[in-house]
Amino acid sequence: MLSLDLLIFVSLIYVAFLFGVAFWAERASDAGRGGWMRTPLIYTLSLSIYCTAWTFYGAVGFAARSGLEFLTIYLGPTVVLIGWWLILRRLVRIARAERITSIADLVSSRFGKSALLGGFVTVMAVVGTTPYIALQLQSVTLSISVFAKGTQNILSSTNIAFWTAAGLAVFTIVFGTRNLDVNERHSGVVMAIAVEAIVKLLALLAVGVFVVWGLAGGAGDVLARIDASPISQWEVSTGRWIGLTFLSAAAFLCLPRMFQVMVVESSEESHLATASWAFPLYLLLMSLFVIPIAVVGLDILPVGSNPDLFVLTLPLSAEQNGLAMLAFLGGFSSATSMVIVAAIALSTMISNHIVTPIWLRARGQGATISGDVRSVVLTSRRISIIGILTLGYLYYRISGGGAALASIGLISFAGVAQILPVMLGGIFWQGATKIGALAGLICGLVVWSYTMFLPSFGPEVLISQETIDHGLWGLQWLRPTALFGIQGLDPVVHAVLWSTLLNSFAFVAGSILSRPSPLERVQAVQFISAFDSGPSARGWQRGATDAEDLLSMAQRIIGAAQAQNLFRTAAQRQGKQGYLPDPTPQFLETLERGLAGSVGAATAHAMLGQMAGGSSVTVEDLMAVADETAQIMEYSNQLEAKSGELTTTARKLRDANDKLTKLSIQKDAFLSQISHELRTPMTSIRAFSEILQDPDLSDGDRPKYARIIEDETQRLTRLLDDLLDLSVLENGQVSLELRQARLRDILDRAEASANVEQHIRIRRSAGREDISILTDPDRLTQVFINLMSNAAKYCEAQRPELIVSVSETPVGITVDFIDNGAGVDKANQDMIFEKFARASDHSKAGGAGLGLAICREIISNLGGQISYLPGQRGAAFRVSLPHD
Amino acid sequence: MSGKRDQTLKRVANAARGQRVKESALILPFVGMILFLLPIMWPRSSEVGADAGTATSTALIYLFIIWAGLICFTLGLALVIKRFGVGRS
Repeated sequence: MLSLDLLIFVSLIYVAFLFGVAFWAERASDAGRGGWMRTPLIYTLSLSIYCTAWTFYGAVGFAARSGLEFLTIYLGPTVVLIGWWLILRRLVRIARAERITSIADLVSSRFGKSALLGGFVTVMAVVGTTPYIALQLQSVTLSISVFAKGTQNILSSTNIAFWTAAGLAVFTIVFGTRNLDVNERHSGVVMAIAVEAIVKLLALLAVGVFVVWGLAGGAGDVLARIDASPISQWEVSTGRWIGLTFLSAAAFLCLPRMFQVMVVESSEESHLATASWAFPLYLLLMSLFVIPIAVVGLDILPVGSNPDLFVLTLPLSAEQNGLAMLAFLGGFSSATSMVIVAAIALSTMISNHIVTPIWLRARGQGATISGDVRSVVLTSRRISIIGILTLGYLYYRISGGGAALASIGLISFAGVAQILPVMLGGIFWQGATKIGALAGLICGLVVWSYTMFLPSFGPEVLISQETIDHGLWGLQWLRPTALFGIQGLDPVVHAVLWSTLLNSFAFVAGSILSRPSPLERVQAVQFISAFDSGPSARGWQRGATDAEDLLSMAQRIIGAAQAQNLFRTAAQRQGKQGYLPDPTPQFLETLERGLAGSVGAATAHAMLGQMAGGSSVTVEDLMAVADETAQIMEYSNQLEAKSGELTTTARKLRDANDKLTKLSIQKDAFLSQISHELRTPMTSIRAFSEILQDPDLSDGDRPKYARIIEDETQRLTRLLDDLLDLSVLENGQVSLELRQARLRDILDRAEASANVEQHIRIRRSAGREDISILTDPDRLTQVFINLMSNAAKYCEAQRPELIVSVSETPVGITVDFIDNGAGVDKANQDMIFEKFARASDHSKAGGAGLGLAICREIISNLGGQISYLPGQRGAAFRVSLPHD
Repeated sequence: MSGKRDQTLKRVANAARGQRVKESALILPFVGMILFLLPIMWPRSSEVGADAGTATSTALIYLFIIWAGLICFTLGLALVIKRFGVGRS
């Protein structure tokens, strides 16, 4: 038998070794030689704090009592890790982006940096973790008592538990609160637990190998022994198998210590990829020999031996003292590493979410400038560590250390699993709100306490036998083991089912029924869209903050050098010299994240809120900004409309101006033309009048000259008639002689009068012309004549041809005159109906350019319209006349 | 020109592989869960009699083989993800 003194001596050496490893790792990390400590392997090994003394000793006991059921505790985490892409990757990404320091910080930060939620989760975590710490103390005590059996020693079991707790407190305080690391990473502690991870794995494997090939006759023999053992049959209850797998998966995500090593201490996202297969492998190896050890232990150890201690008692019974020592160290490692990390995680949560907020509130406005936050935080962490271990010790004393290891572990698991709905909802559901989260957590905590935690102390300790048997206030449906009258469920499954269900229900209902605050909305978007890169949209306004005050505060929290570095970098980015950047919203946000790494998001936000004069965005601010924006947008719209209007008007004016200019030019041209037209006959008349006065003129010439004079006078008269006609038409003084007439007759008359058959061939479709209309036939004939002679005059085709086509539409009658000449070029199309306009050169026209203008006036007086029809073969005019 | 086309093809192939890897990574935990929960449907000797029940050793071997298989799959996925940097934005 191994002497107890030797055991304690070796343990102390082992502890000293761990101190050495942690110390050396911290030194290496400080000196910047710690790169290899941030490898995927170390990360994976640090995850092994999941395997506590419960695993090391308790799994064998669990297996000896319920067969393969113990595997569920490992299958849950395995599923979580092989599904790392789904949840863990997101958690790590969010934690890195938001500088999350603990699971309480995650929940608090997600729901609007709520100090209340952070504090609540912290309390839940402490309550949930306390039984687990007690469990570790119990396992160390139990394992030492194995060696102490038969010897009289001054060390009682309570003494052992006490000194273990004290030693762990010292180690945790020394390496866990050495500094306020910006990212809450503790290289010394991580290194020490990595070493412990290897020790416990080797120890369990060594015991397993010894049991299978030393005590039993190899793998085949072990399988035969399993078949012959009390646990030979697969008798797992469906509810427990599903419930425990779910519970272990949930706890794996929510246990504060797991969150600490898995998310907070994670230095690179890619480490998760390695851990995704390496940690399940670790778990597989840890559980590989559990059933063989249990079966062989049940087989060869005396009946009544505690199966929780088979790992120790089997080697001892075979006088393998060295192996027993290794096994003891393995169990010791399992217990201590868990307690250390749990204490660090919980102390961070307590100081960040309970002590600092209360202290800040107590000190009031401006306290951050005069107070030394750094020392407050560190002191509160140290006190918290002592407090947590004291709680664990007290739980161990109160619960009497009697319950089986596995059941204590399950209570703990179920407690922290209450955070799961809120956590998952927080990172996947944008609609989750603070009220919902609080409702869910309170509901979960109450149901868990009532159905699992309080009864775990045994009847009449915290809950009366009366309540257990007949329910609270005598209500049968409120019995702690049969809520709502559902009986026959396993107590663990019952508690987990109801607590998680009611928790999730309250969370969802609360979230749907409440409205999130603006900050909550902003944080929700940050969390949900963790994988969309882009600038964050948090609100710090440029307040009346003094950069110097900010610097002095930051120095107290994250340390002088780091704070100065942060400020100088920010100042440089703003293009300033020195250490004092402008307190822009961007800078305040950077600073807040920096501080959040040390004191948590809620506290950092509250501190900056105080410093910046509460200038974080409020609903009123947002509404004011929204109002202002709406006004600006409306004004801008009005301006745009006005601008559009002005552009249209300007274009119209420009067009009008162009037209006026053209008209003016045409008028000048006409004046010169009309002068010419009037002068030419006048000159002839004068010249021939003078000749007529010549007495020598022969009689034969006299009538000839007189006729010329008469012709010229007629031409003058015609011109003046036209002008007069147009003037009358334009002034609307014309009197129309309206009567029924056939269109064909009018066209016939026009064709005959125009007398153009030598110049152009006119093609008509007589059938369609048989339409009777109410009009002034003489005036209409005048228009048609004009259009026909125009075609004869201007059509330059080799065989000039004019098509006159008539068609009847619902609105009226149209008569088209289309020739096969060159047409009117686009530039002149607008002008041809104006007075004095002529499309081609004047000499050829032989008129004053009044024809189309007169036509337009006549048709308009007749209630119709004449227009140029573009896109035909040649020049095309359309006369539209109304029906009767 | 052909170099450019090759590059495009390569990018398309990489994107497709990335998608496959991502989908596998998402499906794997569910496959694992189903395989781990499968034994609850096996017959128990307390229900069907001592001879027809399932032996612990059988369940043990089944669960460990599934476990090891899942670890191998995850290892493969992790290697692919690390090598091609899937999901690194």
